[in-house]
Amino acid sequence: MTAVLDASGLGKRYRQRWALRDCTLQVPAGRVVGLVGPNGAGKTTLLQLAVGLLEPSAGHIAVLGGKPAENPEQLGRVGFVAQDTPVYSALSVGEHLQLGGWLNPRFDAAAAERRVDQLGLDRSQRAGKLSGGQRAQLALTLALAKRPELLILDEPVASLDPLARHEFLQHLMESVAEHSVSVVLSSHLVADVERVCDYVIVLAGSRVQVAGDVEELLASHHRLSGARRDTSHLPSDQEVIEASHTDRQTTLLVRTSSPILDPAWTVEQVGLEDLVLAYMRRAGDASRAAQTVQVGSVK
Amino acid sequence: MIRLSWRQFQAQAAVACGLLIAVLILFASTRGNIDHLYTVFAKANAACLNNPSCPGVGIELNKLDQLLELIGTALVVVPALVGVFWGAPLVAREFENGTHRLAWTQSVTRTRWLACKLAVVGVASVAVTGLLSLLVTWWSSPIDRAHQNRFGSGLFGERNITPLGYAAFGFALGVLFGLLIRRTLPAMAATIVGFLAVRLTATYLVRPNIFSPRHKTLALDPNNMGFGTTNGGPATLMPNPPNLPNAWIYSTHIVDNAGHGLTSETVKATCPTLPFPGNGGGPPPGSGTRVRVAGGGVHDALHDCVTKLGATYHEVLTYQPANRYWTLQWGETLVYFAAALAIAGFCFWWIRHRAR
Repeated sequence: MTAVLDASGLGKRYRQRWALRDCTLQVPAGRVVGLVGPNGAGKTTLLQLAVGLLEPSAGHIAVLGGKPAENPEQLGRVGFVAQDTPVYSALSVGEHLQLGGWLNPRFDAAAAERRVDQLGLDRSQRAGKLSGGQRAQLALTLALAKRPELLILDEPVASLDPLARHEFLQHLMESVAEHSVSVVLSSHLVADVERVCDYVIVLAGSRVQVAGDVEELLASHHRLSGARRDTSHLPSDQEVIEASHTDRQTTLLVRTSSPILDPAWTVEQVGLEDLVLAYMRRAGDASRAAQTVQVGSVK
Repeated sequence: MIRLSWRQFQAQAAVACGLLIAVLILFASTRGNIDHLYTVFAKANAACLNNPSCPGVGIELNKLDQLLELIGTALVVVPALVGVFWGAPLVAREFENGTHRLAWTQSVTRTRWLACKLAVVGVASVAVTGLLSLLVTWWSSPIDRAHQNRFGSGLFGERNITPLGYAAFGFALGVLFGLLIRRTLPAMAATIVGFLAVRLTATYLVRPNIFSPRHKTLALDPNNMGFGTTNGGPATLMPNPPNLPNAWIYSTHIVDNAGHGLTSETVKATCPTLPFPGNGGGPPPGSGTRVRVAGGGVHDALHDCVTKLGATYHEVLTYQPANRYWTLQWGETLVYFAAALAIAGFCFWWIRHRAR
């Protein structure tokens, strides 16, 4: 099966600053992928590269085996809900469904109308008058009615209140189950991703920190705690993601595919949130260290 | 995509249609009167020319007609308005509201998206301006016939086909700035400045130099000569406008056979009886820009003076003949259309390779 996203050495630079760099990824089809990371980590850049709104400055990206936005066919295979879910404020809800039909040959107008009615949206209402949640639902309806093979959502719930957020994700999951579409959605909230995603990509400091199946990631990461000790003599297959020490105790978050044999450690399962946070913190430390080195070398 | 472009443009199109219909009604209901007025005026004028004791015929339009004449003058700003209000926001507003992210991720390439927008609004821009120009040209034809001055720097760009070229250019310029600046208000400002700069340069620096003007040498005509000062300068002879209907007169000079211009001193030396300033009865200092004092008792003195000077001096006329009008109209219109197309081509290149 071809990867829905296949990036190698992908990078995007704005003048001097890299918004995304050295991004190499293979995201399998049929998954609901969560792209998490702090604000400004490059999530929007990666997604806009995937839908062809941006051109890469380095490397390549293939989406469903094709170059993003290369032609109408490729555009039709990918549904996109942009950040802040832009809609034409002067056009009504009904006119948005109409324009979806005008601009997409495979547009499922009946399903879109059904969905709008289920959501209780007034078709004659101007989109500019909708609440944030309703606007997001309208944007999702449009993207789904394209009948895409891949649906990309950029922070779709960022501006929604908890109830609207819950409803939106609920609807999203129902539609995904119904149409067996692959999904990539970004969020800066791990809780959202944990609820709906079975694959996660952690993006921080413009780089991919870790990517993989959620269950596999949870199975291969462990929190080890024990008496304080030097961590440089761990088995070679154990990668330390995060280490913290008190006077007496050492706590590690390690990644390994083999079991932990050292009886001195107390081994605990890690939650997705802790795992993601550990990678983000590591990225933060690394970039601070890099900055320090730069400052040092200037002197 | 054509349908979406049209849907987005509907409100503006309705406003434009409403204005056109209003102008049509006003013009249609007053054109008969204007035509009648100027027919009478032409007859009276012809009768007056044959009668030496006739002091001249004037015409005065009523307030409404004067107001309507301003619509013709307003036609000169319509292409700028088209650029500012239809061209500049066309893509800038989508960038500003982020809706380009919605539009560019439907099953339509951004090239096609731009092509449809340009087609719908561009054709409308040219059509609306064209219809307005047609109405203005028709309504004011009796007035223009009387004035015989269709090369006038205002009139040339407010009649016939030139406004279409300006509209296409203004629109394209607006779209270009919208695409580059991506914000509506700054794009509008840039459009108005850019459009005016190009139009003024083309009108005052380029248009007069496209065809080298013709020269015509005339003997001094004692019956068709004035005397006065320009901007308070030295008093000298001032030939009346030559009888070249609709020609574009660049200048009239009085020179001798060696090409030297007629100076005030020469006039004074030859004709000391003329009322020079300080000679008594001269033009009041500092009044007006161009003062003619010929007339009454001075008339005979001037007649003799011109006859004397006519032995060594003649008049040289520099002008574009009237029959170059349509060549210049078509030429200027096509150049503006070509510029609009070139800008549109650049917009397509930009949106494919540069716009993010």
